[in-house]
Amino acid sequence: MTSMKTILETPATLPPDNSAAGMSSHRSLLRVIVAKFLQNKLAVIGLICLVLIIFSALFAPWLAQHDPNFQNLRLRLAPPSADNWLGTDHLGRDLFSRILFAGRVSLFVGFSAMLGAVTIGTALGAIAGYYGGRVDAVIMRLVDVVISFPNIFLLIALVAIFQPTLDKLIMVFALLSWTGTARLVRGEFLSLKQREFVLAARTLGMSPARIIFSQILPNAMGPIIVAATLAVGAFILAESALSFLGLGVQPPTATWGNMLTSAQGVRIFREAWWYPTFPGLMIFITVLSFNFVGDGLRDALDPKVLER
Amino acid sequence: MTLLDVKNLCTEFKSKRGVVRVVDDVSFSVERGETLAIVGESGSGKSMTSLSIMGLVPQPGGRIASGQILLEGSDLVSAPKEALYQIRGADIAMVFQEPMTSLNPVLTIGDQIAEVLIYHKHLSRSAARLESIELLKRVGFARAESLYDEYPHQLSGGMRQRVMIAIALSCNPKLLIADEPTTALDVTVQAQILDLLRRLSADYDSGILLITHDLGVVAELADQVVVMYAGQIVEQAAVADLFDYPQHPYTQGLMASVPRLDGDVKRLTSIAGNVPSPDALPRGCRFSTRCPHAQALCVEQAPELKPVRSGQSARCFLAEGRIFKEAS
Repeated sequence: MTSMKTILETPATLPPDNSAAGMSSHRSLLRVIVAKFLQNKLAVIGLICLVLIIFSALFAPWLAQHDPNFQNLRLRLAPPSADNWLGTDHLGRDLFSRILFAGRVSLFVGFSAMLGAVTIGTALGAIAGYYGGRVDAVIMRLVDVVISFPNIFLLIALVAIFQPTLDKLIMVFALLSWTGTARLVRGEFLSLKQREFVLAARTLGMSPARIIFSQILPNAMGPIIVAATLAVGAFILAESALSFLGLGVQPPTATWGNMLTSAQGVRIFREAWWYPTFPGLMIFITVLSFNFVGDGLRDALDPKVLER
Repeated sequence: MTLLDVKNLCTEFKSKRGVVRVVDDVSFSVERGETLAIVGESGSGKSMTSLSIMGLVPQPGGRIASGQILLEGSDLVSAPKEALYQIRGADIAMVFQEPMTSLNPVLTIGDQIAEVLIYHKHLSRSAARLESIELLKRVGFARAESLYDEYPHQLSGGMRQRVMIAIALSCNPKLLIADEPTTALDVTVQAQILDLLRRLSADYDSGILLITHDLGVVAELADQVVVMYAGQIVEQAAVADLFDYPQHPYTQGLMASVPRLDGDVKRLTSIAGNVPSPDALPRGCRFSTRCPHAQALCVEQAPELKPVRSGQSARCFLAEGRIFKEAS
């Protein structure tokens, strides 16, 4: 199984007792992981991009020179200029400002949906894996049921029935996407619960809940963090796709996806290349960055790729 | 009052081939300040006996079929689950064979000790920290403060085993179960750990149930010895009697297979064969398949555990005097 355990089990070649020698040269686990992560150039580039994107979204009100929803109909589809850095859209709104504010919504959807999905998936996966037997069978059949929903049609149907608001969208994403994490965590727990430290914890009188969450779960955090990172990218992409179809977050609230909706059309492609290009580029860079960072974390946390 | 009194304990497993009894009618008792060793090969049921006492017989499939386990008079077998959570770790604690794997790799040493103190003694985190450091000093760590924030992989096997002992002793347990506590350690460290166990059991006046296959460890630490074979007790004696007058052929075989410094033994003897699987036990005496003295009666009939000398019992017709060694 991939987890942090093997890193930690690497026999320490140390003087058997109290000597202070060698102690300073100990690299803590975290430092090993950070060093490993920093060796991966793509992951570092991804991380830098993400930090920039997240900061620009957080400080959007201070960075944007225009109101993102202010329409200046005289400046429709204006090319990039000193005043409108990335040009304007078909209603004369400043693209740069809109992209900054859209980033807030897109990232918020990505992170919230990830938190929801990972929380549900981790809790159910942990319970299934730890208890096994009938509990496991019931939870895993639930996973099978949720996986077999045709997501995109279900989303379209739900959106058709209810007005798609931000929190409903996040909830639907979370409720449909926890299954991967659940399977992953279950697998980790199936192997981790056999380990002797779990038996040791039981002999110390710890309750199942305490063993699951404070003893076993920290051992499974590596794969969960990787899955969570990749999930944020996937949710941003999913939100963009839905918004592009007009089924996600509704205008005038900007998201990267729904900015593309109004950028469709041959005329715009030909005469205002900046309008579809920049929101598209943001989606591309953000999702790619999340994937790079996720892959970097996977390698950094995987003991099999570890050199010491 | 007797600290631990195990009466007619039977532990069974349900398998595809039916129910197998891995612990069969085992009775013994441990007093405060006393060390009782359970000796036997792999598969003799000694570890399963200790897990039964802990109430941690592997699930699903395993269960205590009958018998009583009295800890200071109150029965653990019939006790509700919630009561066992309070007893484990506080009244009974356990040290394991593998110090490499019985500590949680991603938690610091300090966290693992403090957690138990917070849980059972309801200490605050800062009080638990102080007490943990005190415990680490007590098991012989000079630099306990810095150890508190270290991870298990930074320690050697012997150090980890001492940490395990510190955790086990954190709530001042009445009974310490040590399941092969020195098997995975090198010889010099073994001596340290045995010394530590002996000193601590005297300090805390707790009873020790020592599970081992190492007769050297038994001689070092135990007061009373129980020899188990194929789920049954085959001999029970005070440690001196057992070493001087082993009654059961199995015990004698175990003794003969230990290298000695005195005497000019050229070859070590071994007991041929393996412990029979619990679902394919011989009809008569369970040791009859490997016993050098086995006779027709042994194959026909199962002997019972009977007192043969004062304070010493054995499960053998030979020791009872119902059969005699054939001249060879």
